Amino acid sequence: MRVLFVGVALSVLATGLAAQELRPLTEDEKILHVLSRLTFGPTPGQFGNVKGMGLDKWIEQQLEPEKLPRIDLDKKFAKYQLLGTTPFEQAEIYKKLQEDKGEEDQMMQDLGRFRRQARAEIRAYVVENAMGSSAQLFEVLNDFWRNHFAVDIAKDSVEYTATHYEIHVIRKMSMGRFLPFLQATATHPAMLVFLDNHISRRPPSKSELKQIENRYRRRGSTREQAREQAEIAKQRGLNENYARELMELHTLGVDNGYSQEDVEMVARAFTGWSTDFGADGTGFMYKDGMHDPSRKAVMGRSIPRGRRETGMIEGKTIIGRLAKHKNTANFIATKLVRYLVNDDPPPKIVAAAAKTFKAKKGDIREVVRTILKHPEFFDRRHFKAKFKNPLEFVTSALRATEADVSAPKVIADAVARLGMPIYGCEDPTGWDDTAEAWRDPGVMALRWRFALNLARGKVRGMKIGERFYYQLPEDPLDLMDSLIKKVVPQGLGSNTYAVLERAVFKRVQEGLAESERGRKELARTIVGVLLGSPEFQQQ
Amino acid sequence: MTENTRRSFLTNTGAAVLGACALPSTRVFAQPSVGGSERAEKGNTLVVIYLRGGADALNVVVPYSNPMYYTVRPTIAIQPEDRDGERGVVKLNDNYGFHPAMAALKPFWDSKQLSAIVNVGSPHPTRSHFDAQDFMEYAAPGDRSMTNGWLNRYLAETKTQDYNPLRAVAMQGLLPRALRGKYPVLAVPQMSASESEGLLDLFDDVYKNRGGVEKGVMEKDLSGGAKTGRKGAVDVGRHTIETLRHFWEIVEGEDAPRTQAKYPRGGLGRRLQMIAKLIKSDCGLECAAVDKGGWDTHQGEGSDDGSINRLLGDLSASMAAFAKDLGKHLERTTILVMTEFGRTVAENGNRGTDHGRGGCMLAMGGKIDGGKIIGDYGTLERKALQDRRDLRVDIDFRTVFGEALKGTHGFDTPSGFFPIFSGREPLGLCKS
Repeated sequence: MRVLFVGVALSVLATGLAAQELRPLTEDEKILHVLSRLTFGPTPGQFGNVKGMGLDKWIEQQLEPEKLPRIDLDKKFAKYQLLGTTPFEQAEIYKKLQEDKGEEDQMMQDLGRFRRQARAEIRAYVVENAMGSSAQLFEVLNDFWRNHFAVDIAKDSVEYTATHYEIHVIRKMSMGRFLPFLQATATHPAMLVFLDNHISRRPPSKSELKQIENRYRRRGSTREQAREQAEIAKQRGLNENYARELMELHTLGVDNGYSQEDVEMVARAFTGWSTDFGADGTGFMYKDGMHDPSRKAVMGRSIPRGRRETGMIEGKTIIGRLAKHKNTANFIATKLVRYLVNDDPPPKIVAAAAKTFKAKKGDIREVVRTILKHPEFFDRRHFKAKFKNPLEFVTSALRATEADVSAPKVIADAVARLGMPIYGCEDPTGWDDTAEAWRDPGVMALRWRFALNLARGKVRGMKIGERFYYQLPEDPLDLMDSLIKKVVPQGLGSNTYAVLERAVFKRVQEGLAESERGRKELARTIVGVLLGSPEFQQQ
Repeated sequence: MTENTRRSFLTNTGAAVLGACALPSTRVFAQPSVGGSERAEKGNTLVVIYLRGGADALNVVVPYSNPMYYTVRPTIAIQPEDRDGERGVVKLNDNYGFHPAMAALKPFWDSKQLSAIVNVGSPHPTRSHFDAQDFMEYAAPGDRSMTNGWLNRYLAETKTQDYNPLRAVAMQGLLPRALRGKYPVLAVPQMSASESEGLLDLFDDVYKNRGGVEKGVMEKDLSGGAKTGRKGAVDVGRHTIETLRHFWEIVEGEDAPRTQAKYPRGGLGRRLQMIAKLIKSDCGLECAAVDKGGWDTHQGEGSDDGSINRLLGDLSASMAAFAKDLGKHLERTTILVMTEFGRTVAENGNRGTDHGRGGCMLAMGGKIDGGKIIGDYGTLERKALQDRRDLRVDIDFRTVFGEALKGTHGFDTPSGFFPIFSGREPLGLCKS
């Protein structure tokens, strides 16, 4: 009895101590931590490279992706028709297909093909870059912002304008300043269409209402009925969708300093921010005729408008104010820290990041630098503490095994089946960035399937090549250790290790590990189990 | 399931839970007084169909006798009668009718197994999809600390010592929020039974929690991220294995029930078909959830011709097939159709409607005291509307949830089940 009691007391004591004094990460662990967070998963040689170069230097390089070598896009994406085209050109292709009145069936087929192709291309493009680019931190941040300023390609023309959005908004601005980034999203047809702002127009003026009333009177309506009609017309046209998400999701955070009246005012200010797939190519057009000219105040401050300016100045003013609002700094900092550090964002890192956001005028690169340089970034509590989302899981599996990908569409499909179609989140919130959202029972079975099929070469378009298996040790246990080091460099739990060890022993006993072919088969099975292991789900 | 959830759960429900965590077989909530958390009815199932995006109540349950409806919706109203090739409402009574695409559900109305609830919604004024769904599925309007869905709370409250992994399922890759939380629930992945079995066998040993300590790592280091992280992954894998094995045995095993109806092609029909098999097999399924997206009809909603026509057609045909397939089992099944909010009373300039407040629900099954329109749209005059634009919220959705749980499972929601919610005028949703 006493012994038991002492045991309990000791373990309570140990837990208390451990919570306070975690062993700091070793230098090697720091490298693994950085590689797991700032990349889409380490490749087998990467640990050694970073160690040779020095971690700080590697991080600095990643913070300046402009200077890093780029993927040979021309070769990789030669077959892609929409990359490099403008929304205008894409709309032209689309229109032409629609106008082609020849064979109805043929036209529908062509349109369908165009739409499928548009989706496949943008998804493949994202995945190829995430997997193959040496500017990994840049790709990770692109992923963050693609999710922050989410658009869904299922919605109307977003299907083909998302390509331009990805290249000219997300990838161009993801490490720049927040204000121009916000402006770029606000003036891109993908966002305007996704959140319905392109069709939001001013409610009719008094004289227009009078006209409506008169029209109904002429048609024999009573005065009451005609008034009612005018009243209804007054309500039509304004669409609050973008205005609300601009504040709730893009800047301030939900219910964080604005009211329903503010949403309506902002919606009025942004009337006229519309699309026109006309000559200038970007697809954005400010249409003054749609703009609501009434005087506006947002969050207690009036929106001034000079006489010579168009109504577009109002939206620009609002964007300017939102971008430097302190709630925006906190909101963006919190989300970035959750993404890069821990599902429970450590308050000290958030505070430091928000401070940099304010001091450096929304310089995203500097905010990220602050997070990475914060002493708490390497706290052991954050080591391996993030559950990979489906994109991270799939890309890290392909990177860890140096798989050759001939059909990137297949990767995008795999990510979609795991519940995270790229550019396909229906909610403007983007995908949730916490383990809770992805750890639903049942999904694991899909991850296991992917892991095994990839290892066994059963996923069309993806192949783990000879390069990966080259010069592996002959001894089966050495082979196993060497594969573990390649695929899960941060180490295995003892259970997973023991299971693998038993499986290897069994093969050896059955004489299945003697031939070259047998060893290869064994290697494939080990890789499949490693990719499906609990350890590989964490980063 | 995650530490995060668990932690919030502990703070929410207090010390009574601590004991429960140490002894998994104990009730999760504090022991209730008599008649509290007991589940009086056994063997019944509550199936929740969630229409994502905010379905437009006024074009689902149409107030065809109200001229104001036609005034404010000049291009998207459903006409009272068929006219010039345009289909009119499916009349339910002198005032209300279903959208013409819902004709397949009329027989259930006639047999008093189907009711509609209108002007129902959340007291929280949000018009954001995200928040409205969040608040509704957690059944805690305005309370962002709630991390257990309302169905999950029901499961936790009524759990017994006999663990049944199929008390609840979501027939989709990811759990909807209503089922997320502390009580583990299966999200069924789309793959064949044989493939599934092979995978489960292979990873069975890998996903075990014994010896989580890593080689070369001190025990004390593991109270940090590594332990939390790996353990969370192992827990979810373990649960996946056990539950899926059980699921496939029931759905595809030798004694699997046969499908007795023709379902429409598409996701909703396919998922309801699986749920029907689970119900017919008597595996103890208590809750199931299915999503159907696409209801955010800002433009092109139309009357009998636009997107809402297509959506309601699939919904109704799927529900009707499900009911037919269930046969006598419909007697012990409740189907509750819900959405996060209704839409603006007046149409907008794009033959659509914008986010509103009050909405509608449908309730169908043997436990429903059917053939009723519960609630009232009112005059639809602007001065009578919420914020002069939306349907009022006269009925709190939690009242409906409570009556559905009571009517289906004989479960009286204990105080605190819905945080800060007590008042409820009985609606008479279910047979008493």
